[in-house]
Amino acid sequence: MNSDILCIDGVEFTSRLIMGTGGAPSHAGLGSALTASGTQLTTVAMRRHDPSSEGSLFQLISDKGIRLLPNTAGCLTAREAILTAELAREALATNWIKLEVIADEDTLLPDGAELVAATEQLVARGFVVFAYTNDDPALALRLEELGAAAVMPLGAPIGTGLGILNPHNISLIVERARVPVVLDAGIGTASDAALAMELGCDAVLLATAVTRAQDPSGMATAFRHAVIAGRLAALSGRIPRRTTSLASSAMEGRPDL
Amino acid sequence: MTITVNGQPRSTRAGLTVADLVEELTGVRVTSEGGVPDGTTFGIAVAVNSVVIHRAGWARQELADRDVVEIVSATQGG
Repeated sequence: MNSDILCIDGVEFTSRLIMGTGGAPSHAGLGSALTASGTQLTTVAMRRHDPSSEGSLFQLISDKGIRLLPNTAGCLTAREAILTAELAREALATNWIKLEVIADEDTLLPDGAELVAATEQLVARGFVVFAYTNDDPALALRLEELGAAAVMPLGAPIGTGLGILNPHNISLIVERARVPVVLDAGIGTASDAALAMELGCDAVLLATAVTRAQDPSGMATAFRHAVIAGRLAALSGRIPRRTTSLASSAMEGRPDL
Repeated sequence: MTITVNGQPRSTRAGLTVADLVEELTGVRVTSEGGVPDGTTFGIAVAVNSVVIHRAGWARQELADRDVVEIVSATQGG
């Protein structure tokens, strides 16, 4: 697997598990889970600076040698998302941005029109855009055309843990996209991540499934293995599905009993 | 004069710069080039009236009465 590299914007990753940090009760627990996951890329949100908060999350992640992927979580318009991206670039010295533009706070579903506008403007401003999008193949391809470095279709709404609700659409996106496809949001447990990789996704992004698990480090370890297993399965050529049995033991040479 | 910092009103002296304000809030004084004394990435960004002020400009940017300042850093998020 060491030669199986994920390359985004010229940066090479051996881990295909991108971690989010939302929902963790403490920095210490989060740090252990990030280490257990083996992740090399981790998202953070940009919020009002609180001098009383425990330590610097930025420092915690940086000290582990993990690359930061700031997001625009909570933004409802392209204008807000662009300003948030500019703040993230200034604060964290990275031009990578996970672009989230949500339609409303109940579903947290991406707003396609604002997403398209924001992607176009962020690319023009020199950002490397990871576009969090609906599981809509047409929209995902449009975002790629506009210059997104990766498209990140949701498996299910953020935080639901419902898994991949429309595997067929994810397959369509994987077949057609030329940029990396990252399954983002909706992952509940390890088998969901393995399925995403088996469908041909290049990576998986998840947060809640680990940070709100009873044992975050245990679950992070499970996801590390699931992503590797799913990737190997995708590369190894699964058997075709059959409607009738096919014996694996030869019928020839049976003793006459 | 009164400015708004992260949603809260704050009375300040006239002529306060962004660098001064950040120092008051974080205890860290950026250099005139925008560097941090220990050479690390600072992890903080500032917008004044919805315009991002680059760190190299903090020491020169004086705040005006009724300016709206947002000071942000990385927090947990998915």
